Amino acid sequence: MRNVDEINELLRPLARVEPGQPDSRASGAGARALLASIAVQEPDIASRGLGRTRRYAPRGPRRLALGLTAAAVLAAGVVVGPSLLEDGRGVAVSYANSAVEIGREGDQYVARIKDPFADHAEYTEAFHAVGLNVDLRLVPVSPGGVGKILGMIIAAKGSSRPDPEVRPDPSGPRFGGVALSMETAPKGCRPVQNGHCVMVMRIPAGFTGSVDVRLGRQAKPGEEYANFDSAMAPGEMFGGVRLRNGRSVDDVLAEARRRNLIAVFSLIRMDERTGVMSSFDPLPEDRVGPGWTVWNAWQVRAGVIRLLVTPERLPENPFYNGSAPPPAS
Amino acid sequence: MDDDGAARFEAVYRETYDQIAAYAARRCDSPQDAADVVAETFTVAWRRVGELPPGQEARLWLYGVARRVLADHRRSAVRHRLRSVELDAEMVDLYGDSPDSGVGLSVIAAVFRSLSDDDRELLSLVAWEGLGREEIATTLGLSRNAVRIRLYRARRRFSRALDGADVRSAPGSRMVPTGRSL
Repeated sequence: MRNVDEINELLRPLARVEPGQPDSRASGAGARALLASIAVQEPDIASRGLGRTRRYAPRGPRRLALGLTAAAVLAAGVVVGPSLLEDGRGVAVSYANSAVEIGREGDQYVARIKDPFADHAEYTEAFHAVGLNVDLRLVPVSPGGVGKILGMIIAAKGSSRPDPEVRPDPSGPRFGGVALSMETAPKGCRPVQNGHCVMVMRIPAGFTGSVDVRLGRQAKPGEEYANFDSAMAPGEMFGGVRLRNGRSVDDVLAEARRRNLIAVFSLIRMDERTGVMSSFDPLPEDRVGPGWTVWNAWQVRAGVIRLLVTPERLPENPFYNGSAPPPAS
Repeated sequence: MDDDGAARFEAVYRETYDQIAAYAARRCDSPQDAADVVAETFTVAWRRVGELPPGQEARLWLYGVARRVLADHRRSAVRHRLRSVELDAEMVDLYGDSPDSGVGLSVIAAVFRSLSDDDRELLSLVAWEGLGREEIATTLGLSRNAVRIRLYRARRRFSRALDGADVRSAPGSRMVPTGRSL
């Protein structure tokens, strides 16, 4: 067997960035722009899933008071993504391609998604054409997650910081009193079940920042769900199942069978020092004991559920100890 | 969040940015993926700035975050894309010095890729990030003893796989493949 030095000597040339190479990229424009865009985030918005309001309970007001470097970057107008707004004089007020149709309606732009399976670049092209810096990603989700926003990151710029919220508005953050929101049209329809039902995004016309949105679309057969952590929400694959206090593998497998679901497993590893979860490692079924404990379930894709297990019973459910957003229910 | 937390985050960002960017670049096939991983890692760190440990441990803690972000990224579960054109460009620079694509290295690279994710990560943390056992234990949330045993096993598996691929020591202790292709 080769010794440590031999192995290191073999592996070092494989490293894309030479080990130990002194450099300082933190002062590059991109690195500073990233710091600035993280800095303008308010964490409760950054992690907001509009369908769910329980992600990361707010711990009081948190805002990064920008240091000199980041402030200088903001002053120079470098925020996130290509800044089309600067050269946006005379931009179109409406635009349509085969993926999306965007038009101005009063104080909002309204984007109707014609093809949820279109190439990402087509949405970007349309939003940029009307001067909006919107990065819309349509991600595969379970039927219950279609048309819902899975996550949104807003990098506000200039005056378009979200209005201070007294209570979180479930329809979305507001800019100058106008909501940035998502809905279906005709109102309340389900895009999966009805071919005439389209997803509609509304963006305040005065919004000058950039926004990244991850929006649920119907999954193609076999595609993995991006809303994997909604398995136990009402109407989802494991809707109504309660794992708050942990349940035995046997018990939960019986439940999965009743629902005609295939179960796969991941082992939860705990960080001994901090007591929080450190990783989830896939585990073959034959290595899981019937008496192990299931603490959470994720929906992988249609018909497949992932059970998160530990061999021993933990003193508390690790998904509820603050180290991760609690599961939807 | 108080200003102390903000100032600390910014200081840690400046101190660790290069190391986290290198970590991501060494493990992602494309600079865009690496930029995603860097952006998401620091976003998570900012959200959890209260848990950011002091001093050198901050770097190890961030490696741990980056590792989980990378795993999520590979599963396509988490993609926030807080990237910019500039950040992508700087990542492309990091990819400029591609590893030597000589035959010998490509065989070693192929053998290395055949190892499990866990084995690769352990060996990389030693060879690329230059971490010691104790630092790896902190990064991965394992005991030192567990790291020692796992590292030993990873080295043994890597050695056997190299033997299987006919990679032998040549004079000057430089490893070269002796012919058979993988």
